[in-house]
Amino acid sequence: MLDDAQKHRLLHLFADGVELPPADRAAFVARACGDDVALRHELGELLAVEADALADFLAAPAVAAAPDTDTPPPPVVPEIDGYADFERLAEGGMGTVYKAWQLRPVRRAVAVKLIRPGMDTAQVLARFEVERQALALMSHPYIAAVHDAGTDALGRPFLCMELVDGVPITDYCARERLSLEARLRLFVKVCRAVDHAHRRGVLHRDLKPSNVLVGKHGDEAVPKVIDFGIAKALADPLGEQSIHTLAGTFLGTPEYMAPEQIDGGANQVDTRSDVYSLGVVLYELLTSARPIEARGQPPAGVVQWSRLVHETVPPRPSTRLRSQPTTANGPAGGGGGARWLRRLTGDLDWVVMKALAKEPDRRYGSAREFAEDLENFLAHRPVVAGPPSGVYRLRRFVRRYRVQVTAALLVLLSLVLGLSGTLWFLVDARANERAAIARAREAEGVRIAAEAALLAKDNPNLALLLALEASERTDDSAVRRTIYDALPQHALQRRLRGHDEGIEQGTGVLLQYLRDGHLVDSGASDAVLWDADRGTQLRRFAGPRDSIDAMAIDPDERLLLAASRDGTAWLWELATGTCLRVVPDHTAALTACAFAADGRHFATASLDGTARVFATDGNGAPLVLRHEHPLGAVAFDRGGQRLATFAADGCTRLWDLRTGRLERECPPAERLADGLTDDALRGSEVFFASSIDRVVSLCGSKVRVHAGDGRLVAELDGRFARRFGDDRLFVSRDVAGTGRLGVVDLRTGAIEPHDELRLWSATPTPDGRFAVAVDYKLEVCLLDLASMRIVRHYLGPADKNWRPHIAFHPDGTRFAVLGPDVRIWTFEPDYAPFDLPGTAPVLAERSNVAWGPAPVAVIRPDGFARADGRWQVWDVASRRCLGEIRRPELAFVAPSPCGTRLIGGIPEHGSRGWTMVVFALDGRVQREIELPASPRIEPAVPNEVHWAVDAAGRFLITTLNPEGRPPAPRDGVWLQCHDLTTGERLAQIPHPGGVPTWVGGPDAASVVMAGWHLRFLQVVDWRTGAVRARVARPPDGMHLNAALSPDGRYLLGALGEPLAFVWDLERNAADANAAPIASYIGMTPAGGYACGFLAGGRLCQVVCDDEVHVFETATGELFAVLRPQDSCTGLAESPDGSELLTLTTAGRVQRFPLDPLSVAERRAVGRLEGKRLAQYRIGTPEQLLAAERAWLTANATPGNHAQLGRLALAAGDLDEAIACTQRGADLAVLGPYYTYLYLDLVGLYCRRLGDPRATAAQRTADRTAAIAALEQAFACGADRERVLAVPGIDRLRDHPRHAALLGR
Amino acid sequence: MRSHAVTVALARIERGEPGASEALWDLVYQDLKQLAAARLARLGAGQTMQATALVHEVWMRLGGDAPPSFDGRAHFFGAAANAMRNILVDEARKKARLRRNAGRKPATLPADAAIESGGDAVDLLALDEALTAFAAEYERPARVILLRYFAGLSIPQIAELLSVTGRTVDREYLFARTWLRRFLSRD
Repeated sequence: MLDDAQKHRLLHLFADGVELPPADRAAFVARACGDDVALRHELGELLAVEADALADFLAAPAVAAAPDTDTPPPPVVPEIDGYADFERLAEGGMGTVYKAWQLRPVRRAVAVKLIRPGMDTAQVLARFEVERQALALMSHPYIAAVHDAGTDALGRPFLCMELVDGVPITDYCARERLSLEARLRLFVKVCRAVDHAHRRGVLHRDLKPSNVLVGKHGDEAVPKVIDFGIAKALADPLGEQSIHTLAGTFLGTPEYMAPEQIDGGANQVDTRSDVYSLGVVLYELLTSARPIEARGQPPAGVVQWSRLVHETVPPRPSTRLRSQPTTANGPAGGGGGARWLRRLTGDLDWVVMKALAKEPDRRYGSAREFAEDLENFLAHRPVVAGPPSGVYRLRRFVRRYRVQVTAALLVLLSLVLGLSGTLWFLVDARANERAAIARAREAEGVRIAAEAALLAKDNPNLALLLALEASERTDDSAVRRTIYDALPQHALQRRLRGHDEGIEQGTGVLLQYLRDGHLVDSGASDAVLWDADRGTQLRRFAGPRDSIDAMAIDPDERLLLAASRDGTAWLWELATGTCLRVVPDHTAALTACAFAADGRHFATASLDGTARVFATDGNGAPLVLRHEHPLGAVAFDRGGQRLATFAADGCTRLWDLRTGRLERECPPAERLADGLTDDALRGSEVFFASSIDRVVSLCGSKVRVHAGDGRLVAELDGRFARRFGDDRLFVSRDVAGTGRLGVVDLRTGAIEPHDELRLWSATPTPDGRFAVAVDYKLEVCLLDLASMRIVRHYLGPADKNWRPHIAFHPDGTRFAVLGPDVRIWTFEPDYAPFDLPGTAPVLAERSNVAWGPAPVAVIRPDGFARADGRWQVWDVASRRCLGEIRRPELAFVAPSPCGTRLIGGIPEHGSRGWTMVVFALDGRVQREIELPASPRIEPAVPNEVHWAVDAAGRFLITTLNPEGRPPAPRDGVWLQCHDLTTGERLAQIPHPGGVPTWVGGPDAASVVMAGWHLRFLQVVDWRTGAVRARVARPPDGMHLNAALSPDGRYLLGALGEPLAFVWDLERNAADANAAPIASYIGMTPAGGYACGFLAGGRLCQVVCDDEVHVFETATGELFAVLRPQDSCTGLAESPDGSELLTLTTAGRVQRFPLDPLSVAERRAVGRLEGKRLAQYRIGTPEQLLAAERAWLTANATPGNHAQLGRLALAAGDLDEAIACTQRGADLAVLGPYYTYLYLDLVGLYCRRLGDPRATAAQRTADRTAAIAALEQAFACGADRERVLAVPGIDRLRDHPRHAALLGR
Repeated sequence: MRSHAVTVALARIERGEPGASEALWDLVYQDLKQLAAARLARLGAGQTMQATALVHEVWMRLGGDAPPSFDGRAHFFGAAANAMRNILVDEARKKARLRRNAGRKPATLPADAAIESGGDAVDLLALDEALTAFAAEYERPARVILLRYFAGLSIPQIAELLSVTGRTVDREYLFARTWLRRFLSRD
């Protein structure tokens, strides 16, 4: 081993040595090291390794090099694919604007705005992508269109916009020497454009003269508002960082920003902020000055601007003109001085000042109102705006000089009271204004909701936050519900925010539901009592001068106790908020407090090394218990006779409260020499196990379990410990920076590790079946304690707090998590999806669910990999395996529709017959029935076995031709029905053709025969073979599935195409060709493979791949959508019809409440799905399509062209679809729409490629067409992942272009 | 510029200013993400861990919102590099364990845990051990190799971070590589 000096020399000598050629090194070593043998040996060896064996070992980093952040500025002329001839136009706050030629899709001159480096490219682009969807909705002659966005060769984001030939509006007015009226008329046009955008939910956020360019077309001045929505795209998506703080400086121009925009950032901004900016522009047009102008050096900081904006009341335009001698004759180019001034004074003053009001509530509610008031002025009508009322000025005065005014409060109060009559009048007059504001906010909310829905799949967290943002802006709960439905899982009910200093960085110390359902949570130095269901604060408890480090509520829920860092303990009455006592006894900061179980005493612990026990009623002297070290935690035992205290040396002491004496010392394995830091102590906990004699302490990264006699039972690494039942403990150990869960047996101290559970905490739920946990990504999740698996995640990060506070509502239906805010989640374990064990997805093959007395799932956990014939029955409600069947000879096992037993089938190979086995749910055999051989039925696995139960409770079974090959109705092919209770064959009829897809009906005697080759769906009486009803197949349909309503009146046919029809059999009795009474079109990637009636026939369900659509039988109107998140293979209705149970191919079962969608939601399903257009109305498909086409054609926006294309596609008209994509639409703007369209096209071609009936020539043509569509999809910005998800895309694999497009 | 901002943000965290850790997060997110993305690219497709998850993991390893007295960017990148090392080694361990328990669970890592380095595959577990031994003897050279190999910083960047000349970094880098090579070839 070398000493430090030798190491130092070694480093230097090594550096010198490597400079020499290898041959000279030995001599160098000998010379340099002299007689230091150790050094010589080491140096010689290392130099030899360097020469011989090093090569480029570890020469390249394991990860790619981080970019050098101080790279020289990139070249001036940008390089963007598809653009040429850049010519610099201007330099702005956000970047540089170039004039350029866009080469595709059409050659045209455009403006390209290259965003300044330093902004998060990916975020800007993602944001802009969303924004662009909204921008695509805008089409206004006075708004410049945005064509494209992307990144240049250097990765900088750019935006491509309509090139506007114009100058800033202020310059234009000056140059053209416009009169006051002309200026106003021009300005009104701008207002109208802004209003157009507002009504589509798009805010500008950076309106200023340079963003309103005016050009001259003939004699008319044409304004163009540019950069709409771009400020938003550049701002932080969560709105937590306002635009001006990006990169620490203003991005916008503060002079034009509304006060709330400067203060509050994006969250506070609404349409009225744009109205303010418009007001500033108008002020400037009228006076050539801005309402608030910094004198001298303009303030650089946000805070300074905020103060300036709030404290400065701008002079009225007329006053400003008079005070500026240079412009006293009107603004630049205005001319007509005195007249100008006269015209300005009065009404116009008030109009401008109303737009410039500091409070958004006092401004015009929308740009339209602003425009209308200006038109009132131009038409010499009275204007809405007027001088501010006295009350208003008084309020402003009070607000600005709150402190100074306190002394005169009484006087002012009386003044306000005296004026209250006027106040009421004002309230009334402003009702309309408020309604307008509400509408604007609503529009913004809906827009945010749309954004959220679009994001839901890719970024559920962000989507959830946006959903919350949306719901805070609009009271329409439908909006929120829509997004939640789009989210994979959701359960967030409410978010509570409102502490003085927030609850950042895990400073919250208390979260508790009271028995009356109210919630108490703590902030840094206060606590709040919430009516959590309404989201309102009932009471606030504040007073301590420093942080509160611990809180407790007494068992009677009468008192709230707080331990503060300022050395005091506070006792409040919860009901009134009154502070009952402040306990100043401690001489240093308090770290903990607790109530005894009877509530008659409470204890405090402090860094001063003492714990003190007080009588709650204040009587008697406190009991003082001393340690030699600062204390971190304190706890009473259940009987209230012992107290545990935890100190910085790692010792827990147990005190006998009756005598006040130290009863036991519980030392750690090794005493801590330095002691724990104060911060570690504040986070420490101590508690008694509930029924066994153990006391647990937790501090820093150690969990210690002591027996009551002081013996150390266990000392474990752990950052979190929580009681789990009577004698167990959850601990979270810190392994390599992530939590790993372990369960500790408190009796023995043995730990059962669950390293696969990377959880920071776990809190058992009241029912003991689950634990609410926080995973390593700090997300809240639900742990199923029976299987020790995570069954669901709640969206949204918990907090950067590794020991979150979690509280359950007394009724157990919801729980709250204390993070940066309090989030309240629905606890609905029954609706949590549950993954059945086994090898997905094979297990789900021939697996199914049924719901009789209990919901059950029958699965094949080994899939087909091992032919050991193992089947399992699971009770979904209790998540228990009820039984297992091991019969390798069984070809299938299926639950009976009423879920009370199972039936299996064993093919008898020799005799061509079948043995059917009836099992109880626990797997016991109830009966075996041999079905006699049917001469013409080949011995194979019957793909279909159908069941019915008749009025007498007998089981009927229908078997059919195997392998799905539908038999023809000819002699010797039979349909059989057996009573499974007796084994008796009830009937055998000549096969009517098709596949029996459903058996039942009023007397359980009907069988519905369907099949893709059939021209008619038939309802047959299986007893006699008589055809009860026939309905004609619609032209496009393939009858894959069908069902009969329980009363036998309605027939539901689900087709391979995503269509379902309902026929009224009474109408079809006379005419088999009678049209269906209702049809349902749900355009999902695949659909109609399973269907059935629900709710006694009132509703129908169609399984559309990974969704289940429920619609009303009589109307075809969408009723509900369930999203099991994977291909649904089984579906069952609860006996009471209130819930549905689904099973997916991945082996996931989930219960869904069958809640109807609201009307708004039904609309939203179609509107917000983006990819999917779900239409549902009464009428035939042809009528529906015609109506939709007519509407879209009448409202021909570029977006609607795309939708027309989609409809054409749905109708199978490829040529029309492609024509629509090329008609009148701007590919770049509509990229996302076209992506879907082209991908749908690819899917369609691919589907046809899978059709065995297609001719070779057709296949070649389809393959070529599919590749062309694929190229188009990529050109529109489809990503590889999405393309790979297109069903059947593999069929293109052998095409030469496939590799180039998709790789491999 | 950014290095300064990181220092400011770290100082703000130490002063306990609200929102400071978010600010730092914003600043370093990009860098961390690049680290993560680069790693993921090496490990190939079908990776179970998402880039974001990885970054979060890095952040948590750095101490979440309570970083132990960081000292500007140098400290931060040291910690980030260490976090990367932990992640890589963790994955290697998991891989090794999966191999031992073959059949119990589907393997999650398609690529081998060893990392390609100039044609030689480096056994990460062994390298981890070697690094620990090396760091015990040569503190600064160990930091150099950590920053270079795991955080992917350039030589001038490391020099700036450690306040030494680029030549010193070069020298110590070569020394560290040689030392580690020798350590690993001893077995």
